[in-house]
Amino acid sequence: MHRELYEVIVQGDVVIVELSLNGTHRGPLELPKGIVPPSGKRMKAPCCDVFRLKDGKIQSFHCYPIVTDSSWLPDETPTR
Amino acid sequence: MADEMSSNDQNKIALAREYFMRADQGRRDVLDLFHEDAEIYFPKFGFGFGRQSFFEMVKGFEGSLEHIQHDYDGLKFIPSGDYLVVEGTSHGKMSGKSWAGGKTPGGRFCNVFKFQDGRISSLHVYLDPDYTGDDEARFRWG
Repeated sequence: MHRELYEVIVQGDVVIVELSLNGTHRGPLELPKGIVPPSGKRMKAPCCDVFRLKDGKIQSFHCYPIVTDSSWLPDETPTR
Repeated sequence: MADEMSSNDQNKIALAREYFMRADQGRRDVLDLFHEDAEIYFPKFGFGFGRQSFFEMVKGFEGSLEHIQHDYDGLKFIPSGDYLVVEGTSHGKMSGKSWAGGKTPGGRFCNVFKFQDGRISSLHVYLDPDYTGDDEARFRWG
């Protein structure tokens, strides 16, 4: 998986990054209900990160959406 | 921060506040705040081009969304150049289930507005559209 950055917005000690998480499901994915075997499906999850900095370090980090887009996951419950 | 804001920043914030209020009230004149060729992004909906696409996005909630209201007092505005980023929460009811951002997992959002000539030229909405947490069981931290 890799991040593709679209826009970086800066205001003082706040940095906002619009980006997407892109990747291909090539390995087993562990979920609470079980393991989803590799599907070969591609994912592209746009998101927005808000960093607040203090003394050169990250004081807070908010990632939106909080829950990743799951549209590429199978509907049925995976089996262990 | 408010003391350091330019009038341009204050205008952007006023416009964003107006957007939230008109959207919550389901007013069609929310489109007047947008450029005709505005770009809209909303999770699962994807990108829409042209301000009418805002209503195409809203149609996705028809029959399930009973009401929504953004929490105006808690909005955090981050203006920068042509952009205005707004972090906040909303509360509402969907398919009989309520959510309240900050108290339930759903209902936190971050909007990235871009302005041109006093109107919105693009709006990217970042949130979990699963407002009432129906999909939580499929995630490790759900």
